[in-house]
Amino acid sequence: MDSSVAEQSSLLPLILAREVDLKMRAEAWHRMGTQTFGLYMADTPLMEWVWQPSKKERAKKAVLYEAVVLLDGIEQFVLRICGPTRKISQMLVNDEAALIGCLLHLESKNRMKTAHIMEMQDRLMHLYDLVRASRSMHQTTSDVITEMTRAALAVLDAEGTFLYLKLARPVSACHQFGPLSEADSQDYLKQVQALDQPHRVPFVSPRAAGQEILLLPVRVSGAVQGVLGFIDQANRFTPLSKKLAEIVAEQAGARLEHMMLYDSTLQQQRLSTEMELARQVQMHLLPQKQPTVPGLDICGMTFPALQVGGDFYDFIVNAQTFTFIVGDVSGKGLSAAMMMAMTRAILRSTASFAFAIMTPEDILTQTNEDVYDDYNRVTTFTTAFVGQYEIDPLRDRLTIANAGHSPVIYCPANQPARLLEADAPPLGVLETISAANHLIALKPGDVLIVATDGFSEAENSADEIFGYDRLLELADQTRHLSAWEIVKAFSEVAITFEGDRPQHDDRTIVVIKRLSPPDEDAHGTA
Amino acid sequence: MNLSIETLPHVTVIQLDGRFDAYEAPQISAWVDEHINPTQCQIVVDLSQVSFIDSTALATLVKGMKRCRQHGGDLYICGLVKTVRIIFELTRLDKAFRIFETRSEAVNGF
Repeated sequence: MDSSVAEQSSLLPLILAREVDLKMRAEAWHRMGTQTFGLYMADTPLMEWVWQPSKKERAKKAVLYEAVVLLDGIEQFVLRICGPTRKISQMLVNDEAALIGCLLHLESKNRMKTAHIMEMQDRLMHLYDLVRASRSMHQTTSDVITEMTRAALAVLDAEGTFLYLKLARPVSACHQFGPLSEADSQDYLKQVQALDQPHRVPFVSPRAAGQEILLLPVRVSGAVQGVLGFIDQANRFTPLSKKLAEIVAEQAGARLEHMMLYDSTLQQQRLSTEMELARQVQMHLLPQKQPTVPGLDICGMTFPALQVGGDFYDFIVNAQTFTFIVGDVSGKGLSAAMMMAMTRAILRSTASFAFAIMTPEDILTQTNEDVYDDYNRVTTFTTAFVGQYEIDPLRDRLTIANAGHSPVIYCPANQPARLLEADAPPLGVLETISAANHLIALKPGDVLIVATDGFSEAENSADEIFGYDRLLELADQTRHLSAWEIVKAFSEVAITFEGDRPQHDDRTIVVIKRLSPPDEDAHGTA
Repeated sequence: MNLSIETLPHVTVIQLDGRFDAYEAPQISAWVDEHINPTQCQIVVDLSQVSFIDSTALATLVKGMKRCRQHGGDLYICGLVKTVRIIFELTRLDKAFRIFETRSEAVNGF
């Protein structure tokens, strides 16, 4: 009884859809004198037409004919026609049953095709959703693969799906798949990595014995780094479904690639913002204005390269002395910038020691002791030059000490410029250093230029280094200028020398020029 | 820049060539991290084929020297060409390192 109801329910829509055609057939039979035309399942009428016979017809003998209607070779229901024997034969009724069978078969095929087209439209819509979702960038990898897995299931109408990725760390998402162990996931990934093409494997879960999984490689940045799996019961996937599965796997890979690219761009932007902030902080650690010291013309400048670096300079003026410091931490980037900030602070506090006058040698020796352990840990060093001028217009004493710093160019009036060598290695190299004090009689017109290796190592497109000889030549050519003009000339010459080549290191320069005493030169005091 | 290593009894000689600068220093720094240990801490760096050296490269040599000394050994330098020698002299790193004219003198210095 149940089965006939079920059959009836699947047949009835077909019969109803063809009601007009069936009615036409019934009326044709009626014109031949038929009184009843109907389709029956057991004795239940599915559709029937009954006409009251005329007097004339009633006189004729009416017979009930039956023929089975087959659909796809299976007996489905019965055609009953009741009419006069003279015009109706069993053969005609059999033909009519075959015709109705054909009609319903066509209707059934038609319906299947329509359903298929609608299903394809649905899948295309899901595919469209998948592509559209790919444009959203503000998601985590986990969100993305969950979304991709759900979309993959909808596109393929599979029974279950999973996506496993092994990027920096493994991530997976399942949808109607049941628990997926890390070991199984890795095993699936290894299989697709080995074959690098879609293939079917038995489902390892014991709960779903007999099922198979369609595995597809997910390529991210050119390598198979993930696996997309679909449960495919009874090999139901058509070639078209498999093609769609490949498209989904490809889309998943592209989506992840875009996301990684976006993330790295974002990270780079953040990093460059951080670098810019570091650069600004570093610039604020440098003197914000040139100091005023009687008898001296002073100018210090830093011309930063794109990257933060380790150059620094400082001026400390008190009642008796003017101390200037130039240093360069080896290496580049934030680590050099951090060491620079630390070293500058220690040098400055040592030089500003209030209870005794710290000479340049004291400042360097003491600072080396203070920073040695830190430099030892980070395995870098800093070159440092300290000059100290006694503020006394009647004297011309400049004391200098140098821990590995170059270039330091001294231009005594009427003598060619020359390099002053350090007499101790840079700070942080040896546990104890002795950067001895050297006294220079800084006469009017004498110039001292303390620069960093960003000048001497400026490089042109032919891989030539600017070098010390050119620096000495430049010092001789510009020594008659003011401190600021000398700084400007050095910077311009370095830029011109580099040409198209970008400045790869900071350039720092401090120029100290002894002015003529006020009685000799009206513009003598700075 | 090429890095060639010669392992002698008790001494490892590293021969560098070309420019030794901030771009090349990381590979030497990595070598130092990986290879200098209590059993390999007597190193000679042959710079005879190096035409240019910058402060990052010098810092890398200082790092190697410190690492060797921590393990009771040392890092010697040999074969400085004029331009490189000037840098060592100006920065007074010639006071921090033991520097030899030739490779054999450096090797025999241990």
